Amino acid sequence: MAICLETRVSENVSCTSFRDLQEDILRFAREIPEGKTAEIAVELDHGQYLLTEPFRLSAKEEPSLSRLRLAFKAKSGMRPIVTGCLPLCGADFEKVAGKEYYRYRFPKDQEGKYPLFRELYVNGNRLLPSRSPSFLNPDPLTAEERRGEVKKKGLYLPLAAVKEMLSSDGAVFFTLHVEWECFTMRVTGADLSDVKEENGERYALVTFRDEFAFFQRAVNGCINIGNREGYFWGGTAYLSEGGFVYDHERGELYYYPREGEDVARVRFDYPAAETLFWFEGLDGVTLSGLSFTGTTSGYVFENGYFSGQANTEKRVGRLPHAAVCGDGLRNFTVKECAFRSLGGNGLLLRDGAVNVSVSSSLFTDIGMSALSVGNASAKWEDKNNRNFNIRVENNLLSHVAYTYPTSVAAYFGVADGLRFLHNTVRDTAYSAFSAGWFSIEDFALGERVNLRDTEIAYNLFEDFMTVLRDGAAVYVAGNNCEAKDARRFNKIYGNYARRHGVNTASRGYYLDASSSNWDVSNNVAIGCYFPLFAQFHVPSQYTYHCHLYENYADRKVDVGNHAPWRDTLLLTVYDDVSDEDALLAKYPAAREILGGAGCSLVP
Amino acid sequence: MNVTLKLRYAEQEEENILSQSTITEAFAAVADAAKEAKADRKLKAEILLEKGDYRLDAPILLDVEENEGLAYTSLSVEGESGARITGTQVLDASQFKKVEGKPYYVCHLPKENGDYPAFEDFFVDGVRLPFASSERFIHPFPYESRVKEDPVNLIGLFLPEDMMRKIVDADAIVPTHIMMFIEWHFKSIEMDYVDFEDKREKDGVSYVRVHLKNDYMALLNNINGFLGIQNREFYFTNCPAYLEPGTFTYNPYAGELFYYPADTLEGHELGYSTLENLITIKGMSGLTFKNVAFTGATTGYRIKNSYFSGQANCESRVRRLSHAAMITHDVRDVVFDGCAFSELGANGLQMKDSNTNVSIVNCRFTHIGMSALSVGNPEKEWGNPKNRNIAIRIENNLVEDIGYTYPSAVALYVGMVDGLVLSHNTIRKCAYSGVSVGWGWSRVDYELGESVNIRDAEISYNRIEDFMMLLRDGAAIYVLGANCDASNARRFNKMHDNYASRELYRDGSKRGYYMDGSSSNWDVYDNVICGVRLPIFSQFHCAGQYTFHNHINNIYSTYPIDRGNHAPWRDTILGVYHDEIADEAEMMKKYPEAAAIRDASGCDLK
Repeated sequence: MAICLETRVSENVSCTSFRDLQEDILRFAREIPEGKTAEIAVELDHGQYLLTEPFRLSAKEEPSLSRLRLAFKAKSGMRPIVTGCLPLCGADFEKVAGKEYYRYRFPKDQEGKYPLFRELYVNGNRLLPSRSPSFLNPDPLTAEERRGEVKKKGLYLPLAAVKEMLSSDGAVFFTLHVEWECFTMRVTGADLSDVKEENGERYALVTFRDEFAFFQRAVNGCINIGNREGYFWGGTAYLSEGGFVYDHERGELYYYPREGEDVARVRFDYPAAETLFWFEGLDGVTLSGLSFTGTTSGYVFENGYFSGQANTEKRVGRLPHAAVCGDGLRNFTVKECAFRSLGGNGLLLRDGAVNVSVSSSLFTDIGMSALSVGNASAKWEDKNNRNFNIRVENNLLSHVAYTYPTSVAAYFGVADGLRFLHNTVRDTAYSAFSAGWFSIEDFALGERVNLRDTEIAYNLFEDFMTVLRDGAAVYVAGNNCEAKDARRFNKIYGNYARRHGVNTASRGYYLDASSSNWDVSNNVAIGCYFPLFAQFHVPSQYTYHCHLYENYADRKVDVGNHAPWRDTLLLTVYDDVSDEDALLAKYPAAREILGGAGCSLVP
Repeated sequence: MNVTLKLRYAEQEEENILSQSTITEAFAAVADAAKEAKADRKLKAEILLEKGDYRLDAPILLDVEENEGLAYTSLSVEGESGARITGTQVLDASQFKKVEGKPYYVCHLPKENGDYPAFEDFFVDGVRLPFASSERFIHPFPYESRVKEDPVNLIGLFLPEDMMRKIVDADAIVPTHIMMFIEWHFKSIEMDYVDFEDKREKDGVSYVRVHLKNDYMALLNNINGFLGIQNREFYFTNCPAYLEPGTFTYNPYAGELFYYPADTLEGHELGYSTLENLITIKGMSGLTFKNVAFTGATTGYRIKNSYFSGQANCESRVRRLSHAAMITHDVRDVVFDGCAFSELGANGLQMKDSNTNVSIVNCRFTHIGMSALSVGNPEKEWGNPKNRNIAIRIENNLVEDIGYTYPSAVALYVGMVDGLVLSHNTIRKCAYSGVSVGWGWSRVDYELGESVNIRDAEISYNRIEDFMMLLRDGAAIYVLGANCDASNARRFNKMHDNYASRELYRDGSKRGYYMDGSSSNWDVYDNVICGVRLPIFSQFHCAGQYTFHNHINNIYSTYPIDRGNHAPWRDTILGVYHDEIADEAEMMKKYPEAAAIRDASGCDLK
């Protein structure tokens, strides 16, 4: 196993670690004269490369790196894996007296801390901490509570669930899903003497750490928490066969073996890294043939997690926890890579990206977003928010965002030139695809951009929106220029979206938040409550200059989408059959769309 | 003749209607009212002009920097048919005295602020007269030396002795300029004196040394080093020796205007203008000018400073002169509809700095000395917001007789632009190119959107006749500059369904559809071009400026199209074209599609 560093001008250099590699690259970069560029190809042999700290190259810290063109590639025919996982020996687990589960005690590190991780890899499979069944939180927030004028003591949650939680050992968290938002708070306890009854069910007060004060104000003003699903996770009470929990405060990891499983022979790994590769300000980086795995995000353990739309934490913004994180990159290429079993994001590009190509890559079992390009901001005037020429083609994104369900599988911020073509996106907690942000200002095309020259085509979306509400297979947001410009310079076509079972909150092709200048044609939506939705519920966010035609659905498309006075036209739509088979039988064109949709990475 | 002013603040139920005696007062009242305008109290101002001439004694200026409230003021100026704003001052025939022994008259103009006025436009019955000028001749000599340190290059030019004797005999050499047409440049340089002893002869013609004023000979030598002066057309202008009926000269050092009437002195309205701008508006949004005519503006720059032009109406020392009937800076949401710009010595409508959402429709631009219309600066830094032009629409305008005074001025100029529709315009008789769009000659490495030269441009259905009548190396439609990194092959700019025709010229210096200086990402199709020897020119002469990602198809030409335009290795594709018939009528007969293009082109203004 070796890292071979090839340079154009010097002999090849072998490195034994990424730390050595980093130093060699920096040394090489510093030798590049001003105004010149040089290339380095880093070839990785087969094997696992451990990174517990990010392999970081920053042109901000070392400006000479901007003169370097870097290619990280797998040696021919090899599949090197970059991982943040550290192994644990099963034999080091001890059985907990009187229980079926085992415990491993982490030693403290040099700073006296225990590691923070949310996933455990058991025989290579990423597991999440065991949790309670879901239940409903009964009470909405009052206006006074939202304003902070009345401070809530906590939440009244179902008594039975609370009792079970109290029987638990170790740190417990409570997660609540509210439409397109998600909140996780650290539980401090419960008061079984403070119980109230509603609709024949008893609820006990659960209290939380200090982040609860923020929670009261954090929920988006147009949604509320009453009758929304939540669950506890993390306590030993929830352990069952094949499950684990981790008490980060005591450094105790509990594992409940499967029947007949010899814990001593189980291979355990825990992720010790939040980010593997981190590039900043570089121009010309290529990743090809590499696999990434074994990351987590420790933020929730010390802060809770309050997510707004699309993977944004309301206090700190989008976390930079990703297998590959890039800030302000230019000419960045990912091809034939695999992002597997990651606790945070797969590929996360922030603060402006220019000329990005992601192709023929696999993103599977990703805790946050598989792929994000751009910030969650509509402020084009800030250079860090501008993305240009982004091309994502022929990728498979699967089982995404079940740890942080507000994360869309593929996210794109404001962008001038976006192609999302021939991808397969399946099994996602929230929207499969999201682009644009909440732009509402009047601007002439060119003065600024939300989405311009966008093409979302020939994608296959399956089983999206399985956890949260009010999202879609394809979700786009924001106006794209002032209303007097009627050109439709953004396109959604040739996509096939299907869900198994209609979810009342799921949509097919969703033009939200004053979306404008879209052509939506020749798409299929199956199993979506709203197959097409060009925002016509919220008056301040009505769409304009959007034409929807030649689309197919197994549910009726709402005629509210037809609003000629704002040039939002629902033209030809084929929605006269009630299931997918009938639709495909009746409409050969829909069959053709299905046949042409998706990536080539799966049959 | 009345000026009505309507003012209404945003929350005001009824508008204030005021009657003003002059247009200057009306604009002043708008400026006053604007002082009370704020972001939450916007002012809507309307000026209505009855039919008639509104004479300005001084330019009108509305400037947001001087009056912040103008940023929150929208202004509409609408005229009845025949409403005209003019900068001319009337001269009475009695002010002219017959020059003894000559057929022309002289008028002595008074000093203004201690100096004689500087202008070059004299109007008879509202029409600009041409300067008295000689016939053109070919200057046969190259520069004597272009070595800066060589004193020989500072001496002067050899010009025809017989013409110089005529000029000197008229005792009026001082204000006379030598006009030189040098490819896409021209020079108008004031002479100083003649040395008849310093002679040379060529082809039986005697030439004498003419010394230029000031350091102009050095300037001539040192600028535009790759352009020569040999075998280029020259003539003398503002030259009393060549006064003929219907011409004039003006000596700005003595305030003497010599006029040779075409018929009688009396019975005509005589006038001149010293105003270089009529109206200037800076930084405002929401401007509408409808059915307003502008005339009677001039420029006083050349007559006192000489003129060394660069490309596209630039002056080598001071860049583009801000002399125009109407000037705007940094404006948005602007409409000029049904306006007329005519009989103007400098520019018609000059929109400098940034422009956003501008529509110029149904307007007439006629007999204008510089450019009819300029939108944007001749600059190539999109990073500077002042150079950005966004959403520009120039449609259904008539543009005629443009640039003959300052021939490097294109008829319609648009700088760097994101979103351009330039359609259904008729352009007739222009000294240089009919249309010029974009700036910058080199390849670029920015991604589309990061920066812009020309993006989403559509130049279509225009009718361009008798273009390139004076200068060389221009075209009916000229575009220049790379438009994004070469890795992006999209053709997001379109040039189609245009018709251009002129009398066949002897060489390839006058071109049809010209993509210069690394032009890229153009689709050029369904165009007709008659009477030029380079009907299509997708730069393939200058190696550093080759074009890329340009596809050219369905071109109808009366002259063979050069195969050099076909360069697949840089995705410059010359596809289908029809160039085998030299006669336009015959070509139209054979190709009804070409006739259809011709018939659908141009504006619908008479």
